[in-house]
Amino acid sequence: MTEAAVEDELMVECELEAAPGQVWRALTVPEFLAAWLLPEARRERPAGGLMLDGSGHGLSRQIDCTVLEAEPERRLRMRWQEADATTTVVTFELMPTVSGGTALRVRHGPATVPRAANTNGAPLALAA
Amino acid sequence: MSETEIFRALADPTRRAVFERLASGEANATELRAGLPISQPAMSQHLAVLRAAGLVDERRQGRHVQYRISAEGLRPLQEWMLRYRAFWPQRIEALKDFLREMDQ
Repeated sequence: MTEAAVEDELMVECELEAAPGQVWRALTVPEFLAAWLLPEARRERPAGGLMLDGSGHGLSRQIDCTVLEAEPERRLRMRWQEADATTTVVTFELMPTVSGGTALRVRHGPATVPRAANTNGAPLALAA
Repeated sequence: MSETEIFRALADPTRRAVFERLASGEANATELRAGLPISQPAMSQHLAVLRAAGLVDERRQGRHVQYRISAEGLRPLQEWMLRYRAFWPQRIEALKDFLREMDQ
């Protein structure tokens, strides 16, 4: 019986020359995040987050980003809520590399990801 | 149907397993239950949620109901994946540029 795993989470990995501390600032200082991720949709910020404008990239004009979990220089989880679309979660995971840089993993998927009972085809295995 | 409902329908591990079973072909509720520790009513409920999300179609055949994956069901999810599959690599390139500027 072939069971096709349903893919509903994206994962992108890359290696950055910058150290985790610097990458962490690029992710968590609102002005920095808005400089590379998406511009801010408006001046006033919601508590604990940012309102980004995704219209330049085929996304909603307002994307409400709220920090759910922050483990400095290691892990940042953000709720990613597009104005007229679904609520998802973006997770940034940082690992120092031997050369002093950062291995960055970005995961983006549903707010609740059932991994425990679904071993085949899951796009990530954190413990591995 | 929106990707929100699809995400929600697939968030339950049992429902996800049922859906993935159906990917290999039509089946009735009894066949779908094989090997899964759930009751018939629970299976009916899971199938109802999958149908409501547009992921599964049903077809009556005599006394049985056959379930199968809806051809269009996953499209909103695939469209969502497509948008963000393009988005994140681009933004990571922008992050690399930004980090280089931070250095100077």
